Amino acid sequence: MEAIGIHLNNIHKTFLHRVKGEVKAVNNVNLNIEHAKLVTLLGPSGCGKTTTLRMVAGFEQPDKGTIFLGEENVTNLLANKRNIGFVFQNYALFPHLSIYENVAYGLKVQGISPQEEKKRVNEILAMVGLTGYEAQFPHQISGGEQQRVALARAIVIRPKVLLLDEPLSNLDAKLRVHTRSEIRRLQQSLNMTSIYVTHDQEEAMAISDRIAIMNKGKIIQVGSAEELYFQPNSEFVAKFIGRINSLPAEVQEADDSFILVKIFSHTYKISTTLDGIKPQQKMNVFIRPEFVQLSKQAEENELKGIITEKVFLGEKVEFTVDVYGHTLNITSYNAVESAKYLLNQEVGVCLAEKELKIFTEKGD
Amino acid sequence: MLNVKKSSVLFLMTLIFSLVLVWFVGEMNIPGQAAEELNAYSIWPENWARPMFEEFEKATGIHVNFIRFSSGEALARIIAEKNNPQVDVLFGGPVETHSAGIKEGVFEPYKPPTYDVLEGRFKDANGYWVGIADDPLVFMSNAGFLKEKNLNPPSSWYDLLDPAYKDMIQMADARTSGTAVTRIFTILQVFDRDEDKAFEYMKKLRANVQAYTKSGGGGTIPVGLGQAGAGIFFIVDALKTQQEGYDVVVSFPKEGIGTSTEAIALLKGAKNPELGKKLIDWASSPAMQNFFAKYKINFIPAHPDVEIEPSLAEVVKNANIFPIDSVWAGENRKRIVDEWVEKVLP
Amino acid sequence: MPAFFNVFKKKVLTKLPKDPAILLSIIVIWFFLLLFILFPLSKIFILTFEKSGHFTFSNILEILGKRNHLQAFWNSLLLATLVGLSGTILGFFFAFTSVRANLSKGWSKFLDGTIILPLISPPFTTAIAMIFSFGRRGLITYNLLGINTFNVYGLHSVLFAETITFFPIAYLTLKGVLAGIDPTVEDMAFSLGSSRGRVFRTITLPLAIPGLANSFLLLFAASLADFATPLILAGSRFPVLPTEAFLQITGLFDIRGGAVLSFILLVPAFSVFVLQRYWVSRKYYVTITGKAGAQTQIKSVTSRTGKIFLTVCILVSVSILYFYILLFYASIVKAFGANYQITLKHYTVVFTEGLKAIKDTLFIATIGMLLGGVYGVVVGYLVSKKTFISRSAMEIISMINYSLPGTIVGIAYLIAFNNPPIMITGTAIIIIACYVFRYGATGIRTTVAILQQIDPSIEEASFSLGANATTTFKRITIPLILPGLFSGLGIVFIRSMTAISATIFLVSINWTLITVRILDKMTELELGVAAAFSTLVVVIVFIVIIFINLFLRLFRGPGAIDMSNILGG
Repeated sequence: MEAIGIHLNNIHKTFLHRVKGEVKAVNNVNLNIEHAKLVTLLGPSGCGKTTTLRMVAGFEQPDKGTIFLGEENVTNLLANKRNIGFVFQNYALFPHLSIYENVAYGLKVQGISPQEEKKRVNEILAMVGLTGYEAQFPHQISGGEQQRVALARAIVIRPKVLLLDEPLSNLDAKLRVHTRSEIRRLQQSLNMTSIYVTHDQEEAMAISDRIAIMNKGKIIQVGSAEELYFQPNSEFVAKFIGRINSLPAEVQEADDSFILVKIFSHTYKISTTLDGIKPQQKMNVFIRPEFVQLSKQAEENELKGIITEKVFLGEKVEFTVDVYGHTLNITSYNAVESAKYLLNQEVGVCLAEKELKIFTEKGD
Repeated sequence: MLNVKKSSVLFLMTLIFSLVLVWFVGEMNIPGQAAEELNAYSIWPENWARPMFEEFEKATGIHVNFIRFSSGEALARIIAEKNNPQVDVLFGGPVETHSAGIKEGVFEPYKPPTYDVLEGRFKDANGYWVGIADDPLVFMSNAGFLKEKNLNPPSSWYDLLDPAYKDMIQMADARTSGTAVTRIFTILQVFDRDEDKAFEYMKKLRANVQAYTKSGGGGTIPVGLGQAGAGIFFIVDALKTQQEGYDVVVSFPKEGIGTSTEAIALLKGAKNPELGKKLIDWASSPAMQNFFAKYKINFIPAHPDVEIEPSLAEVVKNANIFPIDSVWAGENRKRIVDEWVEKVLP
Repeated sequence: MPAFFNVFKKKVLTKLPKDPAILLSIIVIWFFLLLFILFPLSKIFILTFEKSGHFTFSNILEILGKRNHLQAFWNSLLLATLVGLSGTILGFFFAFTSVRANLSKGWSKFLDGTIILPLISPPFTTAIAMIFSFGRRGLITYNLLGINTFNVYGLHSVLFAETITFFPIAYLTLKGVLAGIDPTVEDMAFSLGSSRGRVFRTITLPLAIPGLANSFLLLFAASLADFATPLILAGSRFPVLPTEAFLQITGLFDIRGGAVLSFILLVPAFSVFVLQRYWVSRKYYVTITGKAGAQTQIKSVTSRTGKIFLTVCILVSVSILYFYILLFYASIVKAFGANYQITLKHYTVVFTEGLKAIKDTLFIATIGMLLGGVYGVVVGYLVSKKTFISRSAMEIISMINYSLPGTIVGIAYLIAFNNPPIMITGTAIIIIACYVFRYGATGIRTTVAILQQIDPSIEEASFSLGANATTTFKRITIPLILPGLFSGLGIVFIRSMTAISATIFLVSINWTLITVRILDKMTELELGVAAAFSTLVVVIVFIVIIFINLFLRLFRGPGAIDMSNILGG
């Protein structure tokens, strides 16, 4: 199967909402997906990710912009002409058809021979582990099995691209982990260019080649899981992927390649090439919990705080520390070291200087 | 989950429900009528019966509650209610109805003061009913229809078999209408009571019938409007149509046409027999029949002292009208109607 | 004896409710069910199968031996089947357009509003309008098309009038069914490459089949029971059972014949009842729903097809409206077809001669509504929240009078209550009882539906907030039931205003009804007055609906009156 890329150019979509009036569900979205890659649209509910996906499928028409599947402009093509595999959140199985008939539906539409149909359905059912379920009806099988039927039905037609709309959200936690790796395996072995929609960051990080973070109808940042975690381009991305502390700071000096900021009593040097930062400017500085360290006694260059909460989670320990009236989250992966710190203890708080981040984009 | 209070609310509701029901039973069964009220089933249409009863109330102070039914319905009800009569008097309607009722034992004989003055065909030998008017059948045709088809007003029973009338005749259904029963007995009489010939004629006539109506006058407006071309009706209904301004022509067959006595009867077991008798006295006398002209009711009065309204007299002047033997009709009514339903209607 | 007593104790006594109030309620309700439902029905059976003290089939054979009656039986089945088909098709067409053709709010409201009209109208309305339009001098056939050979009486007219009258039931049923089909299922079929036509054929239609079957049965039953339309439009060449039974009794004074005919009518009616209850209702597909409300834009029809569908629907709606405008027009002209001078004389008649009927009808409808409401809530509560030994029997029996054609119920009451021990013919009580035990069933159904919807956790939540059982019942359960109760009441009232098939046998010198007066006026050919009465009924019913909907809005209850509970009179 020849895989193709997906290209979204300046996509706009406005809905009329009963209460809010006109809502820009999708606002100038650009996205390029290379062939055979899986890209996840990740964002809070209502951010426009499902709408974007439905436009790629052809269920919605963009108000502006173009959609390309490979070289072909499909913007005005109907859903049934796009040759797309779609997996719905609720699976949308045909309740009046058996599992076999559900899976064979798309093949029947294509008009392929009965022998070929039978062969391919059996093949795909074997692939998703549902051999023997042919005569069952959707309401007779479990949620996980329904999910796999939906997947089988979408890929049996050998679609150019596979679109998945929160396919795991109706499964329980354990099944979710198992099924997502199965989806990933199928996607890679069949070389299908895919878009995957979810609001679960862990799922997104586990399954994707790249992740596009969406908020309020816009794509904020696209990148690999690592890129998004370590180099978020905005406060929103930083907060949405993982946890991050926010500290008030005042700029003391600004240069081309770095700035000096004062956080409470101490000054830190942050490398940045961002323009327009001026001395005396107040801003927030961000740092992830694992880059903050505790010490018994506050050294000269450290902040002071009091431990207000300590949660032991096995491989890690989470502290909440009050630093001059601000709450700071600290994660330690060193169990032995952590044992030394107790609740209400006065401690030194060390911020890893090169992990301090500043954003000029809020991202929402 | 259910505690006592909750269930008592439920029980209270059930109780209210039954009490209201019981209260109604009590309320309804108390004869709450004033002394001077009587109940009647009228076979005459409301707009003729109402002025008569209003005049009666003016004359006597007795109020008449009434409801109008086709003759068949009225009789059916009276028979059904035999054990618990709801009314005192059956008012109006062709006498065949009353004759059939005698067989069922639903009437109480009563001979009003005018009984002796009335002609023989206007009274039952035993006084089960008396006549209040005479009502001949007529042919009524739409003038426009006749002109369009280039026809003369029908003047023979055989004229109605002309294919020009195909699907254009309306007349009443014998299951509900006394008019229809009178019509059928008329046809039997025309054929000298030879039922085979009469029914053969009626079957032939069936081909030209567009619809059988529930009430006797049911076809008059359709004929007036031209929806139907002609029909066989009582003269009251036909002349009313004419008076209302419809362009219709009344004619009589040369072979003769029947007339039916409009009768009144007292019910057996009536709750207000004395008041009922007063109504019968009044209705069978000139006191009521003199009002026919005033209210443009085109019945021929039964009482010999009441003069026929001149224009009505003019209409029937040269017509060959014969009375129908009410005893014969009453005895054969059910059989003949059944036969008509079986042979002619479908 | 002790052994028997032990079994009795185990089987019966332990299953009786402990609460004496509940037990008493059950006994009282059973008393009424026996008296007003089973007793009259048994009288029909007795009259049908008894001849001089012996069991016999000769009564049935005798009646069916008459050509006319046998014909009526087949005609009834034929008519009901045709109405079931045509009404379902038209209803499906409307429902599909309304749910899938992307209608604007305005058009949607217009269609809904017009379609409601036949449901709340008195009987004969369509029949009168048909005669005015398609008679020999009809506005359409004669004045417009110049045809004067068209015969308005017969199967075609009854079929047309009943389809117009009853298809709204199909529309309301199927609208719910179509709206219940998950749109993503259709989206899915599209994305698998299906064309619109194929999606409709392979997905939408098969999923709607149980709904279509249900709608067919509903319309079949409605047409089978319809008495008014065939009485006016069938003509004598097309007899049907309800009118034959009516004529047998009112015309030929043959009560036994009427009872036998209505028994014959009971056979198909009861089959439909059973089919619907035990077969169709279990055939609905379980749709697995997840996140609902993904607004789908690609509808099942192209916008051009949608426009064509909408146009057809509007044309049908407009012709329904035309019927009502015609009805109103006929009520304000001197003599429709002959003299089109505007006059109020028909209304004068309505408000003088007809005043008693209006008062009686309003009185009976009001009392019937209140009693029917209480009865509905009590029985609904008992059958859905309590378990006791005769529970399902109570549920089924309480539905009998509702499910059977009115003609049967009317005749049964006439026979049963005309002689001692219970002699209530001629009273208002017999009409009220007929309404309560016939239309009160809709109250039972609404109550059961609402009680099923109330999640036990709502009541539990109230308890957990510290309210005791009484407060919970008062503050939570009753307010939740009330909106449904009111819409149930509304339906009882509306049906009491528009019913005729049962009550035609029950009116009397003391108590008469508007609908019966309409029939009288039609047989007396006072069509203008009949039209005026009909207009009045439509207006009253409209006012009542508006009033109830306002009231429901105050309660913020679930929506408006559920019109699907309304069937023809």
